[in-house]
Amino acid sequence: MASNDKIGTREAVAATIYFLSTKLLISFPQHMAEIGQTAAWIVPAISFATATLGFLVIVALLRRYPGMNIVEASEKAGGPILGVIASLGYFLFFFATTVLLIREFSETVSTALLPRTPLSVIMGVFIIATLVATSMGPEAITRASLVGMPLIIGTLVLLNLLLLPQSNFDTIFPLFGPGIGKIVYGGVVHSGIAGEIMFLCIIAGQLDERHKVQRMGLTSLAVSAVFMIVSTLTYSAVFPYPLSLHIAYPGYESSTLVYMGRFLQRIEVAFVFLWVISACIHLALSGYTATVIIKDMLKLPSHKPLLPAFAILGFTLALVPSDVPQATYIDFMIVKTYGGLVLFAVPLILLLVSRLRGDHNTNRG
Amino acid sequence: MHCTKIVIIAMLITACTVVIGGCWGRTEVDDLALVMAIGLDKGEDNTVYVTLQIAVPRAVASGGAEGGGPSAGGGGAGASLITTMRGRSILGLVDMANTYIDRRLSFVHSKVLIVSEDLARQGLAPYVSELVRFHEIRRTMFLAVAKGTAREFLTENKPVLEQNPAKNLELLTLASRKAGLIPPSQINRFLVEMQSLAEEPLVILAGINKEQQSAKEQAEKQSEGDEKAKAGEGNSTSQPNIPINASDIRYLAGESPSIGGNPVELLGAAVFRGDKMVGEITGEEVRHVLYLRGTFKQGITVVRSTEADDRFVSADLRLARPTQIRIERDGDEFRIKVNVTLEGGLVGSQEDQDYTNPKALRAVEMKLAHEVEKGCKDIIRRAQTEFSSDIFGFGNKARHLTMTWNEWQDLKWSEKFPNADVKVTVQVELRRTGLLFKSPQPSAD
Amino acid sequence: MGLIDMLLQKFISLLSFDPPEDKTEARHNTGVQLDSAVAEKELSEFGQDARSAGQRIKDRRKARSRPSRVQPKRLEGVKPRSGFGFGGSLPAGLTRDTSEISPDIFASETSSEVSPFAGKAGGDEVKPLTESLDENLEIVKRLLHHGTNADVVVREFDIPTEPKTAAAIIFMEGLAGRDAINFSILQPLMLIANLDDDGEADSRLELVKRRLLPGNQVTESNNLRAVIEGILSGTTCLLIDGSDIALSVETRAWEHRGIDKPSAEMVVRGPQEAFNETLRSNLALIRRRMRTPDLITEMLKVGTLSKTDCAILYIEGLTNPQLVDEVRRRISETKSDHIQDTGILEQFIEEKPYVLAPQTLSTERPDRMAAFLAEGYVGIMLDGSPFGLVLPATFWSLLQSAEDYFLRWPFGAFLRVVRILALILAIFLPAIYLALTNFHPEMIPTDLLLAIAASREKVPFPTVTEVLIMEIAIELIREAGIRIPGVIGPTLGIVGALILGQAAVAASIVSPILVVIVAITALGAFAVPNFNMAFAIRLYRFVYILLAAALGFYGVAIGVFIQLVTYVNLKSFGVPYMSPVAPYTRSSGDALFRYPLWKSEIRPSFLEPQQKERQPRISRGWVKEQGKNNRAKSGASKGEENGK
Repeated sequence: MASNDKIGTREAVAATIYFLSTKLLISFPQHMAEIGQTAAWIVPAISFATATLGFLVIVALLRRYPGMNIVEASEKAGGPILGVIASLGYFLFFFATTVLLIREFSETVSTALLPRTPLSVIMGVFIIATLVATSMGPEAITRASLVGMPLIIGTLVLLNLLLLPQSNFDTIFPLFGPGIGKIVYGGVVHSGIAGEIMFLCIIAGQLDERHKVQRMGLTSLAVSAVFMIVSTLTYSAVFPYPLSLHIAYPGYESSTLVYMGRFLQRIEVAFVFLWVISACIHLALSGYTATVIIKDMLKLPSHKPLLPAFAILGFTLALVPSDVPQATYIDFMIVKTYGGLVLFAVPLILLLVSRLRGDHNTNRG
Repeated sequence: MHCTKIVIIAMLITACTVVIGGCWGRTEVDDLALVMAIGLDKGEDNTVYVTLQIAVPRAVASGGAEGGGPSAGGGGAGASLITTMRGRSILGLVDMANTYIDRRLSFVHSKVLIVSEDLARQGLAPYVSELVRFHEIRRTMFLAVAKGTAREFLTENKPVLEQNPAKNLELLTLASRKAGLIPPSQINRFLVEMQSLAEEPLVILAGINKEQQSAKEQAEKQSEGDEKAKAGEGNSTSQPNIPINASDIRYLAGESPSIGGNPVELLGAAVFRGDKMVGEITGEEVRHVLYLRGTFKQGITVVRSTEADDRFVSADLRLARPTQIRIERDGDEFRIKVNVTLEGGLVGSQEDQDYTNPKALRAVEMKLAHEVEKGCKDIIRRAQTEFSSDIFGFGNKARHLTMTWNEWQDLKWSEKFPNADVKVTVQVELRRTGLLFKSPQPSAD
Repeated sequence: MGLIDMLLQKFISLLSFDPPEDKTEARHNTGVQLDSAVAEKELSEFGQDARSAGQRIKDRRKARSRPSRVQPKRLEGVKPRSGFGFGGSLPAGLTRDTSEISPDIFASETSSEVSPFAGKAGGDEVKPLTESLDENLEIVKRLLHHGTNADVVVREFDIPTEPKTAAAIIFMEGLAGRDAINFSILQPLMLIANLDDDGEADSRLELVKRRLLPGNQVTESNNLRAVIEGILSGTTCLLIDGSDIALSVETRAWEHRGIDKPSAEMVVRGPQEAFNETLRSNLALIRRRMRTPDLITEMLKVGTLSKTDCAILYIEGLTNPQLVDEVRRRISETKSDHIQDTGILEQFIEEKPYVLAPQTLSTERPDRMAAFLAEGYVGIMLDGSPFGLVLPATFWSLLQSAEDYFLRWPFGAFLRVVRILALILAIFLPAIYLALTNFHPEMIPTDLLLAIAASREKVPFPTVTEVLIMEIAIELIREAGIRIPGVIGPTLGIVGALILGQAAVAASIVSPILVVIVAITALGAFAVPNFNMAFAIRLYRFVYILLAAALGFYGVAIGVFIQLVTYVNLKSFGVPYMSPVAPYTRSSGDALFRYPLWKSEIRPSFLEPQQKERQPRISRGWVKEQGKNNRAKSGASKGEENGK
């Protein structure tokens, strides 16, 4: 009966894993191939390793201010101006992610499921679903992710297994694609692909077992990294390097390739069906995160009044990129590149500032 | 409370979408014309002939040709309609087809893409890329090259056992592939191999049985003239004179020594370099390619007996373990060592042998290994000299020799492959002798 | 009629505190609404005027509120009441238990705080009885509307003491048992009172009570209100001249149905008895399964008119007291005139009335109720309702049946899987069919697709219409099957399902595959063990059909997501609905599957029971002993396999 209004450890981990790995379903593997060529699968490994370091920095900052989430801690550490700038940075990352994801998911649905339905309808329905979920608050969303966890794990494992006959693992050679240096650089620069780990620190105030936040983060990072690496590996084995650059919807296209005899084929719709649910969870999570940052920044009592405004804003902005390639380009080459910088470098600066000032918050333990 | 309000609002909106949105994108199944096979033929002036085989559901459901069958279109498989159009792009013609086909064309259930040989020799890249970008086209469609025209193949396809056109083509492909007489060939695979620097595509070869065609022609002639009737009579009493090759499976599509049944067959493969067809290989050669690729499933191999020239031994073989390919680089020289290990059992033997005697079985093994090895060497030689196309995918192993993509590109494997030194060793292990140890023989006296 | 009544009452209740000149009207009107309270008011005012139409309405209402009187025919399980106690139909061994309960009832009756209506209309003002029998009788008669009210029986007689004492008994015919009154009240009082009067008794009342009344429960009271309530619940009130104390003798013996087989929650293996409409026998059924003094049955009254007995059941020292408090709070804060079934009470105390999911679990099985109580749930039983409520309900508990536990665990687990499959089919199958055929024909095997296309060629409607026609038809069959009298019911089911389907196909109104789909869907809904859940599923099905018709699988997926979020956000009595899955809490893995009983060591921790362990880690002690023996024999260390 207790633990009602707190987010349990498992729920938080599940939500973070969802948050981190649902982008597999959109153009993620294709961008990895762009960066890493045949070594596409190494890129997420490096990005996640970098993000882990970044996460440790954030946690260190968080530890200095017990009882606070990262937005409050940033403000406390950096003062009102620096803090607000930092929070705006976080917000922009999550809001841009949400907006672009709405567009990308909608485009995927449009291509895979409803080629003759107007995009705005698909997007509108996505936004309504997101709105319903976000208005119910983080407990509902994180619990939904826990229920949905078997779903994404199941589909990813199943898809990877079903694609085995179609894959040729020789094609991941030459092992280092564009060369070790370029892979490492690409991976580090794109550490923003694991930037959603910040979510844990944003909901830190609501966590049931806040002291475990580091362990929770590391677990989610590790699990998601495995998903990412394995899926990218399968992708590059099914669509070898030059071809892997050409696929617009990698997740969908690989699922269309499932052919296990006469009776087990053409099952991509089932996968997309399950992915839509995952996408909704992801959108709800990122939408919630974006609004709650603003809420904490403006010190509002509830995030709910913000939702309609954000929904309309999101809907409008999602239609701004003129085409799919542009949307995915903005997502991966801009948001996920500079996003990492904002999410991990800013807390580092704040941490240093806070150290220099010798600032601690002990009265709110 | 707040949440429930939102839920209610969401439901209202959904209800609205139902009312408003009912018309988007919804298509009843009986409004669809399901295209089962697409045929592409080369036309004059850079045009293309597109042949579509469309299933007639009523005929399929009522179980056969009688339903709506051959008269419905230009003949062909019982329950389908076959139509041909000429144009410059394939998808442009799809809309055109809807001017005279009353249901909306849908490719979501297409099984086979058949291209004619001359189109394949001209290059398939533009057409295949055009198709795979279209969301209804599945990358798992089978790809076949027809000797002659694709239209002819589709119209001549008169299945007897499986009258459902959808099942017929797929089953044919799967059955033939299981025996290892055609290569696995789906559009996606073709795309991968076409783009790859390490391997070249091998595509199913389809054809119309010549014997059957000539028999048909003969029968027509027979009915025409009386003087020919005598010869015809002779023909019908004795067996038709079918030319045969040295091995029972060394045939190209359309050449198999058979008569009766469905005149179309899938046998052998078309060899490509890039997107262009450069040659064709027989069913037996396909099998050897599969041995070397390590994707052979199971099949019966027949060899001449060691003891008597007119006796044959057949063994059911499968790969005991994946084929091992080792590749060594020495400057610009590549040495490839391939080790094929087959195992299986005797399924038929015309020899008078006691296979409990280890020697006898070893002798058959040796013979089998020898034959397989010879076959492999032959096809490698052909691939290197005649086609200069790495249909075995040795290049995939060569990738391991390089560390970066640039290095691999600079290697230019397609230029190195024809000069590579390939050594094949084959081991055959017979584990069982079928239902008999000894062959039953007539009494000596 | 009901609506007019309601409006009238609303209007009347506004008038009820009108100035004195309107007194007659006000009195008569409040009489409609609250009988005893108003009667007391009358009493205090010494109003003597005759009854008006309101009286008759009241009588009708009273009659309606008593289920036993509305019962059209005598059920076979009904037995004649025997003389002693109320429990004529119960085994003798139960008397002890029930006598334990009944004082509670009386206690709660007398303490005015429990009665939710106490404060209103001056009910606190309780007129004590006087010493004059005539006066007392007059008041009681008037309060009970003796004369107009035909079921009130007043029997005046003399107790042959020296000197004679006038006395009277008042009871309600039908509620009180005839034999009990004849043999344990009237007979001793009238016949043997003159024997052996040693004059030791202080008063006649004491004499009567101590020596002359063999009834097993006798309560003294000089509170008129309690007396009246007692009479209305079936006790017999004995008034003795010269005493201002009324004696309430337990004679409750109204007609009721015997214990029957469960009709909604049938099992093959397991107990075959169900609750009936009598609260006391229901409580006895539960108590028989839990012979612990810690099983508490708290009594409340719900409904201002019906004054239905409502029992809250829990186990002291096990059940989370917060949960009990919450249940108690919600029930006692519920204000309505007529709550006669748990189905009605449920709607007053559930958390979110707008969500389709059932938020309480109703069961008619005493064994199930007992099992839930043992896990730390709270039970509610209502007099007159053969269904008990279990609180809080979780999504998973609504998918469970009592039989799951009576079977060996692999079978029980298998049943669970089958049921979840049934749930999924019942909700989604028509929607999936619709989405597949209308939006995603690529998912259907080619042969099947061609067959569907061929069979649809002559159907003149879009698939949505087809699906809706068939779904509505099946709902009609289901509803008609329940309403159609007796023997024809099952026949109609067959007629409807087989012939209608067949004919619809033959007439090319629907395609044959749809009949298969609708049939499977209907079966799936029937396989869901909880009636409420099955209802929710039937409604959800239509929502999903519409979603699928609009947006195909995308619509269905969005629907699933919204439903998922709604469900995880839902709470039943403070407990998250999807516990123990989301939020994850420790439990014995008893949500989706069922694990071996000896491994299910803990009670569901989302209930936060005071005792977390259901059994020790080593529940099968003999295994250990056997292990010891083995070890002794072989000398090898054999691991103790229990409890891992």
